[in-house]
Amino acid sequence: MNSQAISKYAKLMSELGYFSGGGRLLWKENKRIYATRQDVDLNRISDEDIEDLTEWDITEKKAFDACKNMKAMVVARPPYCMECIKRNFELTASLEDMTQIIGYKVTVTPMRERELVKAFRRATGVFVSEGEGCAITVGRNPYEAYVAMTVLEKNAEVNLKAEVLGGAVKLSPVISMIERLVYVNKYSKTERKRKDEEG
Amino acid sequence: MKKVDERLCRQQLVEYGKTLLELGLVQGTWGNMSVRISENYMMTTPSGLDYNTATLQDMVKVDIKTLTYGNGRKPTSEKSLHGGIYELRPEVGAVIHTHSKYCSIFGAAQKPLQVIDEELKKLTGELIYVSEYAVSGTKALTKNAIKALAGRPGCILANHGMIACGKDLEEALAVCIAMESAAAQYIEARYK
Repeated sequence: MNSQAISKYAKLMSELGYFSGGGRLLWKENKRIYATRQDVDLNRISDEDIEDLTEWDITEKKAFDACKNMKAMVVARPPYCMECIKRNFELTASLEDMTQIIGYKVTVTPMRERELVKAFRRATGVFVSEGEGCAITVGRNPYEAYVAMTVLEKNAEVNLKAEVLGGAVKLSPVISMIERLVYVNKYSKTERKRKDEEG
Repeated sequence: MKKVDERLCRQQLVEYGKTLLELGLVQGTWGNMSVRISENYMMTTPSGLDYNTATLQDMVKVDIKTLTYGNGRKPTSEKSLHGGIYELRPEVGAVIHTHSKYCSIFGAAQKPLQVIDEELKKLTGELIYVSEYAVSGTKALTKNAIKALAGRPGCILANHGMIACGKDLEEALAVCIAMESAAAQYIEARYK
């Protein structure tokens, strides 16, 4: 995988303030799992900031390994996601971009492999409540994992602020499932082709 | 209707796509735009391409009535929405559709937006209506959006985003920015 792609999306998310309090990116390459080191400046990643996690026994790495189709993972702390975690607030889709890119519901789970894998079967994002908490997204390439995180944060903010208007109206779970399938199999193809070439 | 230079339309769509990204009104490949080039044709942004990398050749010429297009890129999946607006509103020369955050809050809540700021009202009108919900890319969405627009410059799409119209892209963008600003003002004055 092109480390420039990893650096590019890490920088973009860093500039958005998603890594205040820490975060990391993980990716699969040649049957190995790599990640940015903990506590590095994700605004400027160098080769020294990358480690091989393949043999490590870390929960998010094991959950990532179990998601066979996913090649990239982002662990971050965007502010409105963190607010949802603080309130133990499960995010249900009230906007089409969330239902297409992430799925119908983003749950709040402990940092345990089994729970994370279960959550990733249903959505490409999850809220983790343990410790300081974090949001995790996965994607078929770094671009998808990055977009999922931006869409997750946007939808967290939209749902929280919709309380001012009496609350967000949830989409139908059946329609959401269909929309997600259509997006994954059809509309994301052109995007994916270009972004896979990047990595 | 005077025919507009196609190359110029393509150039404008590329430039305005980057502008929408810079202003944070769209992310990545989401949102779409179109320009009317004649009575029968529009030029639209392509489906699924990042605005940062889209070129003049990526823009797609689409028949407004039949929604057919050539052999190159596929046009936006919301081409029906754009075509529907051009068919019913002959004065509209450009349409911008975004999933911008603050208008999306009103879309998520399915609530209309009362515009308070006098300057913004000149561009948006006093009340921005919200359409009834319909799945994106469907004829129902086009029908509901046109009903919510009526003769107005913009509307909010339930559980989706917003549409802004103008005689050209410059005017449509001004409406788009005004709608998002009005929505932001309303929400931030009340959110604790």
